[in-house]
Amino acid sequence: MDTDRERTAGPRTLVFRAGTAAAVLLLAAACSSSGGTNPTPSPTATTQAGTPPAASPSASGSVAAAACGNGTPPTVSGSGPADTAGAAAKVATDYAQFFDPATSASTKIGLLQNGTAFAPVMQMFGKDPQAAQTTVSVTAVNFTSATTADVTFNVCLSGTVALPGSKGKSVLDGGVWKVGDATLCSLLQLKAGATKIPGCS
Amino acid sequence: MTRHRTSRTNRVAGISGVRTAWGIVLALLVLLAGATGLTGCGSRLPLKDFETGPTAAGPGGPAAPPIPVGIVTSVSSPIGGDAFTGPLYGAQAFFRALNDAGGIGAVGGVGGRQVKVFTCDDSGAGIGNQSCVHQLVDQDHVVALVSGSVLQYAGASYVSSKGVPDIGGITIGTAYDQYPHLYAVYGSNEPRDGKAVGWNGVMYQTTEVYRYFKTKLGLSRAVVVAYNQGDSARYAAELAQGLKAEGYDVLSETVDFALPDFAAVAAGMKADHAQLLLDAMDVRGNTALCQAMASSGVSVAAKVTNEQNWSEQVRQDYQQVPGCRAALWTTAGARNYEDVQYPAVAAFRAAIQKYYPDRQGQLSEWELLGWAGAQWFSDAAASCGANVTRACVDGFMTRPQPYDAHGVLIPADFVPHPTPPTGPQHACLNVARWEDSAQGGKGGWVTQTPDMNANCFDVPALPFRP
Repeated sequence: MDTDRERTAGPRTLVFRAGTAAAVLLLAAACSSSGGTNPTPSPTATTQAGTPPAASPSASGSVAAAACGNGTPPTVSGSGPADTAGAAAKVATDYAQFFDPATSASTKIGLLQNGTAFAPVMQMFGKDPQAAQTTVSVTAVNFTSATTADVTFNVCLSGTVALPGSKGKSVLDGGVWKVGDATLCSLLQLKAGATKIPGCS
Repeated sequence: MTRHRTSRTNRVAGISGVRTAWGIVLALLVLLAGATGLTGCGSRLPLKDFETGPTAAGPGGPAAPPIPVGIVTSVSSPIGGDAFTGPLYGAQAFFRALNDAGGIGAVGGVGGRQVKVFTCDDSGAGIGNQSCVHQLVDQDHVVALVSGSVLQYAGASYVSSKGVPDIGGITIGTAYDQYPHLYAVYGSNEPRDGKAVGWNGVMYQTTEVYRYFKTKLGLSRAVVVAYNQGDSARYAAELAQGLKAEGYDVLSETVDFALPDFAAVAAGMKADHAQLLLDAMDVRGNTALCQAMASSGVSVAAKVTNEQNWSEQVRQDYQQVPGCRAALWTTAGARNYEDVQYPAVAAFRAAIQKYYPDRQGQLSEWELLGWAGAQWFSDAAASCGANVTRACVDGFMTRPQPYDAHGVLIPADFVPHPTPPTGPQHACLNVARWEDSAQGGKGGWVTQTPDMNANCFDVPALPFRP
C-alpha cells in the first residue's frame, strides 16, 4: 500500500519560516530604519568563583530580560577588561542597539565590526516589514580577552524565543564594543541559504 | 545488487546513508537548536582544554617535531549551544590520549611523534570559516584538517586546492560531496572532482532505516510531522518519499510554526493508527506533540529521531514526556557510544572521562564520530612513517581498502564511482533506542542490533537535487 493523505493542522498563515525565518527577521530588525524599540539588556556580573559582583551595572532604557526582555539579567564571566561588569553592560547595550529597528543605519554601521564593508548588505534587509516583530535579548557575556567577548543571546519573534542561546562575538574597536562581523554574517547566511552574501564568504 | 555506497555525511532524522538538500538540513539543525545546551568559547578555544603534551624523545635522539593538525568548529553560531561541538571534543580526547601514550608510532610510550592541535571557531559564518581555513593552512601549516563540524564550509574549495586532506568531516552542506581531498566520516563513492555535487548535481538517499522498522518491528503505517515552513516541509517530503518507497502508508501532518495545533495531529494519528513517527521539527515542537499525544492517549511503536539527537540530552529534553522518550529510536553508521564492550568505544569513554569529565552529561554520538575522525588521521599519518605529508596522508584516504576506525564505523571508503547508483544498494546501519531502565535506572541508549555490520539491507537509492 502506498498512499499519502495530506492533513494540515492549525492555521495555514505563514507567520515565520522557523529558525531560518528568525534570522531573516533578526537581520531585518538590525537593518530597518523604522519601527519600535527593544528593551536594553542590563547584565549582572558574577565572578568565576560565584561570589557576588562588585557592581551590578544598569543600562539605559528598559530593564533587560533573559528570554525576551522580561527575565533574568544576563550573566558575566571571563576576564580581560578592568571593569568586566561595565564592559558587559556596554556589550549588551550595543547588541540591543544594533538590532533595534529604531537605530539609524549609520549608527548601526558604527556598532558593527568592519561595519562599512557591510553597509550594502544591511540595506538589502533594511525594509523587511517583519522587523518590528524581532527582538534580541543578551543573556550572557563571557570575556575572552580585554578586547573580545563571547555573547549569548536569544532571538525573539513577537515575544517568543525563536532562536534560543544563539552565540556571537563582540569586539572592542575604537572604544566601542561592536557586534562581530562573523556573527552578522552567520545570521545573514541562515536566511540566504546557499546564496553567497557579499563580504561574508 | 551492487555495493554502491552513497555519501553518509548528513544522516538526519532517521534517513541512513542519505544526503538531503542543504537548506533542509540547515533548517533542521536550526530547529534542533532548541535542544542544545550552552557553552562559551572564543575564536581560539581555551588552551587549557586543548594543549598537547610535550614532544616525546625517540630512542635515537631528539624527537621529530609535532605533527600539526587543525580542527574547525562552529562553536559560536546563531544555532548556539552544543550543536557542533561534539566532534571537537571527541577528536581532542583522542589526540590527548594519543600524545600521552607517546604519540603516533610510539613503542612503549617512546619514539612517537606528538600531534599538535590547532583549533578555530568559525562562528558559523563563511567569512569566519575562510579566516580559519587560511589561518590553519597558511599560517599553522597543518598537515590535515580533522573532524570538522561547521555550519558554512566556505573555505572548502581553498582547502581542496591546497591538497590538504580534510578527514572525518561531520558537517552540513555539500562540500564533502564535491571537492577532492575532503573526506566525510561516513565515506563517499561520489566522483568529488570539484565540478559538481554528487553525480552531476544529483545525490541519492537510501532507505535502510525504513526497511529496518518495517522488517524488524513489522511497522507499515507512518506519520511525518512538519511545520508549514519551506525547509521543514521539504525535509518532510524526503522522509515521506523514502517511507513510500518502502511501502509504508504515510500520513503527512503539517502544523503552523507559530500556532501549532498538535492536538489535531494527535487525533489524526489516532484515527490513522500510526505506528512510526518521524518529524522535521525542533525539540520544542516534538515535546509539544508528545504532550498532545499523551493527552489523547496516542502512542507509537517507534519515534525515530536523528543522529544529532543521539545524546544524553534527550534525558532532559523529554523529561516531561516519558511516554515519547520510551519510544525514541535512532540510527547511525557507527557504534553506540554506550557500547563499551568494543575496545575503541571503551577507549573513547575513558578519554572523555579523563580529559573532559564535565562532558559526561553531554555525551553524544557526534563525539564518538569526532574520535573516529582523529583515529582515521592518526592511522593515515602512521602509514607515512617519518615523512608525514599532506600528500601521503591523502594517499591513505584514497586507498581502496574500507576503513572502520578500529571498529567504530561501518567500513567506508572513498573510491569514486563514475556513474550514479543503480539498482539495490547494500546498506548497513546501527540502531538504538532509549530505555529509562538502562544504565542502572539512569536511562540510556541501548543498541538493538547484535552487529551493525550484519544489520544490512538491499534497498533502493532515491535521487534528489540538493
